[in-house]
Amino acid sequence: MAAVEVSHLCKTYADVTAVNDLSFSVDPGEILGLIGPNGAGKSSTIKIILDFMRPDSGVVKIFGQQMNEALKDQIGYLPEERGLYKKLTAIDLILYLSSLKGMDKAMAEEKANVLLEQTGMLEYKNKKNKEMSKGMGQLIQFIVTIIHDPDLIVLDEPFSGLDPVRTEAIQNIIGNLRDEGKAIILSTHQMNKVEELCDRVLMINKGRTVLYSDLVETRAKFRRNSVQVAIDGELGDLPGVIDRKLTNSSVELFLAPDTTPQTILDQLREQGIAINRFEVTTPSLNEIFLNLVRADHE
Amino acid sequence: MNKTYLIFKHEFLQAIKKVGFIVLTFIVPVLALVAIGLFELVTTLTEPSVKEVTTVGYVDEVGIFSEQTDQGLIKLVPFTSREDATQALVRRDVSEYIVIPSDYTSSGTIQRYTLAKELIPPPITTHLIESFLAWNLLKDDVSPEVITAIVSPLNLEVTRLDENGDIAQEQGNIGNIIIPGVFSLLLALALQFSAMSLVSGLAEEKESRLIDVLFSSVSVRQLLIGKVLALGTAGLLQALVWLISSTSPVALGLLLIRRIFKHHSDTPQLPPSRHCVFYLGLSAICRNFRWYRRH
Repeated sequence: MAAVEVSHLCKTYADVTAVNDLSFSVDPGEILGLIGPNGAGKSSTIKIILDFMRPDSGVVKIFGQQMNEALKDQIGYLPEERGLYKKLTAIDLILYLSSLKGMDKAMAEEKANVLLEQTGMLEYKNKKNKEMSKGMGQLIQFIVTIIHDPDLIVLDEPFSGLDPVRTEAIQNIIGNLRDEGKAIILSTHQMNKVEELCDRVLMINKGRTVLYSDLVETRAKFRRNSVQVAIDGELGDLPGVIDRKLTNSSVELFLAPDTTPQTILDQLREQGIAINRFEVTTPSLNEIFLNLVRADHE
Repeated sequence: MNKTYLIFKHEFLQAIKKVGFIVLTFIVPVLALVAIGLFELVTTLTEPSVKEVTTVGYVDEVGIFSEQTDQGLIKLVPFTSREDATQALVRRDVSEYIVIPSDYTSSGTIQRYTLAKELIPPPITTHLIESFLAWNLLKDDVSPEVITAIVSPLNLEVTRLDENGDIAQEQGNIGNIIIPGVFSLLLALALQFSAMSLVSGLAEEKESRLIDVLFSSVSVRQLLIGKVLALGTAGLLQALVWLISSTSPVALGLLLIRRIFKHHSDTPQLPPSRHCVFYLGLSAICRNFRWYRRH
């Protein structure tokens, strides 16, 4: 059973269509990357999934059910704009919000200590939230999001404002949660994080689905017929290469439709050229995103 | 555990732990004590320590008014003519004088002369003169007890009966009106406190998006009920503290002031309603001032 199943979701604000016939699903043990430009409809989609607002049409099912109060305890949500009760200490905030998720205080305290340790925040547990930096506050909210062991986790920009060390810590925790079978929706503008973490990607623009597929398949689908080559010296003429583009330390060779990367590699070997790097060009998700959004605008 | 109760508990504890709440709860009684104390001090210092006896002259043109000239706080001094009485008034030997004209028994008119500018004659003077006149008019025909009864004919004791004709357990008195009034004020204050705190709290949570986190755990109904009950309870608690403190500390303070300055042995008896209204008014002002400063 899918953790989240969204069918033909539509939402309009006055004359602006925020979500337009959106359908997707998230399975347990999967991270779905939700990406799109600003105003694409990501936040509206998340709010509808979490039942903060009602769609004009379409159906959302969480673990096969319409959203209800009991289901809320199985969901963890980290909003994009984060705020904390400023006068509470980190541990008090965690314990209060975890109690609202039905957690026993002793168990919550034990789990909080583990997560605070994992995120390097244990020494700040008794510090008031107003005395913490933005990044620290974000970590506290991330802990609040996952402390009750939810089956569905919705993360909206979880890495913004975090230093590389803590980013890696959070990334590892998210990866572990996926391995434990949690269904995760990750909304972010950091394409590299989507590439590193997500199994599938849902790209939306103007409320519509622009791309919805497996990340490996997406890369294959948008792969250009080109190779990146770095060699010592000059690269002479190579049959099958129709264009070339110099970059800082390498050259990208664009191949004719009937030419394969293996053919080029064989030619280079035959010419006795010392190869420092040879790589089949794979477009980054960022490139794919930009191309698709531009194409959609055109 | 019930989520509404969890929100109630959290919000209540947060509300009563706030420095503003603690200061306001305990500063208002102190301010009230100081203010009432100052008022009492000024009143005590300005009022005469020994009640002065007023001398009132009278000219009896009828010739029957001679007894009961000592009416306690008023002493009546006879004059033979209006001129003598006027001279005495100008010399301030008397504070005023009255003339009982010869046709008094038929006209009922008494003339009063004074140097003071006043809208109406002081009621106590009027009452004592009435008593003097009545006593002398009836002295030959009626017993003194009857005269006293005529002068003060009414001391009304009201007893409320129930529908069976038995004495009702609850007798109508001023307390039955004031106490509900005071509690209405308490309720209004508690509501005002909860409404203001609720709105500012929700605005803060909405602004910080914390409300989204809360709504991912609880329903709107649970959140609002928990908050309203908690803030209402905190407001009532505060008003209760003010109500309790409006009796004993102030009474002790007043007793002290009176003992120091006047050596009065009696315990000051301010009407409780006056305390309550004063306290609640002061607290409302303090609370509004604080709320407006914050926003």
